[in-house]
Amino acid sequence: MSGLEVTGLVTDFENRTTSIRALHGVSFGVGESEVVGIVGESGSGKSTVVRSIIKLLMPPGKVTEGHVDFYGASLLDLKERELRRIRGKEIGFVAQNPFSALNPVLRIEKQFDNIAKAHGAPRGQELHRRAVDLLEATGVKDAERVIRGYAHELSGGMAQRVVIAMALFLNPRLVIADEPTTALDLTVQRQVLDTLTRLTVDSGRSMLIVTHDLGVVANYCDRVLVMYQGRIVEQGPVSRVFVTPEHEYTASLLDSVVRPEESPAGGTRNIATVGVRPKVMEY
Amino acid sequence: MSVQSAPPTSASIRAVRWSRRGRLRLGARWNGIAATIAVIVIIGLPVLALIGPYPIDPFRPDPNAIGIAPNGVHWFGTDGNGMDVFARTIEAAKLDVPISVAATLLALVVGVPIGLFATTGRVGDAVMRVVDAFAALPIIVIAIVAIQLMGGGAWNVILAIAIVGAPRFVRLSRASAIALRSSRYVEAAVAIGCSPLRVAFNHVFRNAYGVVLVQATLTAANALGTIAALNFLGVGVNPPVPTWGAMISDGASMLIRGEWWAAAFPTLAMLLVIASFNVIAGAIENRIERVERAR
Amino acid sequence: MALIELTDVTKTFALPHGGAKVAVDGVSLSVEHGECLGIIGESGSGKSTLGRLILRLYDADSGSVVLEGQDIRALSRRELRRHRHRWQIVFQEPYASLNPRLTIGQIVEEPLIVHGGYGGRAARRERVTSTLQEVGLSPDFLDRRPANLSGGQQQRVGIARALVTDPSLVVLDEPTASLDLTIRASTLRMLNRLRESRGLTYVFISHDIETVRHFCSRVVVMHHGRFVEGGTAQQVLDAPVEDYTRNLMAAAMPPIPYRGRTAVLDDLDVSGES
Repeated sequence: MSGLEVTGLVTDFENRTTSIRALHGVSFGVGESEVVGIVGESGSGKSTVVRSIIKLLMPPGKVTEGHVDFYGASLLDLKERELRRIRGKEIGFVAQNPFSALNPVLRIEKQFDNIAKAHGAPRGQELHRRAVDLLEATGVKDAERVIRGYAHELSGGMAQRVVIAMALFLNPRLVIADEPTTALDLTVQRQVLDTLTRLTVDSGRSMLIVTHDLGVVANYCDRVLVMYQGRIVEQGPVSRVFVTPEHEYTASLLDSVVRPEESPAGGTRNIATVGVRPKVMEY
Repeated sequence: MSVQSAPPTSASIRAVRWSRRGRLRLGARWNGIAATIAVIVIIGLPVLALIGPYPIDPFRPDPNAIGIAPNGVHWFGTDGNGMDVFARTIEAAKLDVPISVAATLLALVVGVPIGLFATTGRVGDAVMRVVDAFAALPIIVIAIVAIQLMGGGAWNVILAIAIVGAPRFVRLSRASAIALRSSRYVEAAVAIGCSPLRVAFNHVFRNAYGVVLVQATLTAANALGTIAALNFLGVGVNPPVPTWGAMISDGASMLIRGEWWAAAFPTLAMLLVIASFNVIAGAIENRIERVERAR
Repeated sequence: MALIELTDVTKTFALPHGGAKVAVDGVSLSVEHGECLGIIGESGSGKSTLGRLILRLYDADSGSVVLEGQDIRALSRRELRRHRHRWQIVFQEPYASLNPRLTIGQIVEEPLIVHGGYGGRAARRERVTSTLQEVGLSPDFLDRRPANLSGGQQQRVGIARALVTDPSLVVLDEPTASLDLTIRASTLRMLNRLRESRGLTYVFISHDIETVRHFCSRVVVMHHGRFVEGGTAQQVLDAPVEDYTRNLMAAAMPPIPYRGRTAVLDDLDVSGES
């Protein structure tokens, strides 16, 4: 079985008195070389999905049911040690805020070194060369200088590119990006997404992008999962879903970014989600 | 009911924890109870002193009963002058507790506004240098000097301690003001036309008073200790009015003979009140933390 | 007479480690009554600073700012405060702009108390309630605290607070950037409705081209503290002239009309299976 296959994923957040179900049985797959977008608004569970898959949920979140198969390995059943080997080496993760992913007190090179050290990859000269090559491939100008410097010396776009380079460093088969460009300016967004695309497409890597931006999905994803309150309400090729959406929620999402006249959904539908706040837990 | 901030890995909620600063922090249920007890102690002792007819008159020495150990008549024994320790211990609460509270209030009322407004520019810096100077003074020494200059008596003690205690409040409220003034809602308050006074009190202080309150209770505890020290040294309030500090001073000379009661009971009373102040501080911190987490 | 008349306004900030950044560099602008002007720019362009300079929440270093014929920079602080009820602002972060320790009713009432002249308690409460209703919040919300509201509701409180004194101008600083997509749309529709019903003038600051396209009649593009291009929304967004604007428009990613990933891959000149 190749690629990622998620079946019936159920995640709960519980404390002493209450339990809130964040995911109600989510199932989907990401094939080799595919780019899948997960789109939804806040509270839809899109970030929870990817964090559940690689078991990076903050307590009190817990995966209660479900099965995650990654190239034959059942991720949810693995012990933490084995999972850590997969995280980073087979699955790369790019988070929203590059500056929280980068260690502010270590030089960039040292952070690459730490990754290599943790996964038994070659270090020293070869590490330096590979890191510089990868940074240049991500579009980081003057990679030699950047690698010797610190995170705070970089702009948002540059920092995110460094994070991408680190995520790709050990040649993962799957890259998960959780709102990778939300914090960036428009022009920089395009550059970073173009970079990600260029680096993943030719190498057969697959990508899972979580975003609330429909434009990102439309332009960079093959398939899309539309999430609403913990469920996938629609999934399919972007070319189909964005042109002839089947579910009301998808239609209302598309409505909200375009003029009604231009909307494929005819612009009349409007789910009454206004003012409804998904239950939040005090934990 | 909200969950405490104990590590979430274990589901158990421990009843008693030590906060980072070593203050006793209680689980939610005990929080209210302990705080209530503490408040009762702090208010109750002076009230008791005001209303109570004592079994024995605290001001009448009994020459036949000098240095008697606690017994059925003198519950806490008598001191070197034959006066009843129990009655005097309670009576001292009439001075010691209100004075420490009053000194704290004065420090607060003077210090907080200064801190809220001395945040920027040259004026702010100048004010802070003066405040720093005051804060650098050793409390006891200054209090003694002040009292020598102004004379003894309750009011001067209050003044002396307030002066030395005010810098804490200035620093605290200033830090809060600086931190909060770049908040968006403070900017919004300015945008709707609030005067600086209104911004300072309705917006900045309203969000910062929790820490001030905690600091106040701790300052009160401190003040009590300082007052006792002053009275111990014979500065401050004059005999025969009983104060815990003076009583401890008198009772200290009896300790050598193994007569512990004249010094012990006032000490215990002091510890009880100081502990109560600390409990209240912890309770307020708990409330604040829970309110913060609900955001 | 234009509602807003800016002439050669400049604002420079001192940087923490020495040096200075010119946030707004000699900007001139005029906004007519009833207009909705969009100011587009990326981060660091100076658009938010400009918005605050218009209302004198920041003091301009030079130039003139005239609102409804009033020279703002010449007023004393106290006089300025007294005029604030006429020109208001809605901020980007809905939650952060509300005092967490006040109730919604108190938040929306405060401008009335500060400026006075709106009657006694009952009259003020009446006005607060009706303004809240205008933004779609029922009287139940009066006693609630900001933390118990959703992002969209919080932003509506911010809007109500800005409108309660019946201003003529509202500066909207990325009012929907922090909101979910569907909420964005309904909030913008509401803002539009309010503009028409109350005869308001808007200065709409945003980095989101699509939003500005649908919301504003006139648009200016800001970059490094200067205006790069300006005109009607159609002119600037659909047929930009300047290089910077063209790059900006090229970077936009509207999902509709659907171009798809193949188009992007072609642009990048990589092979891809889709």
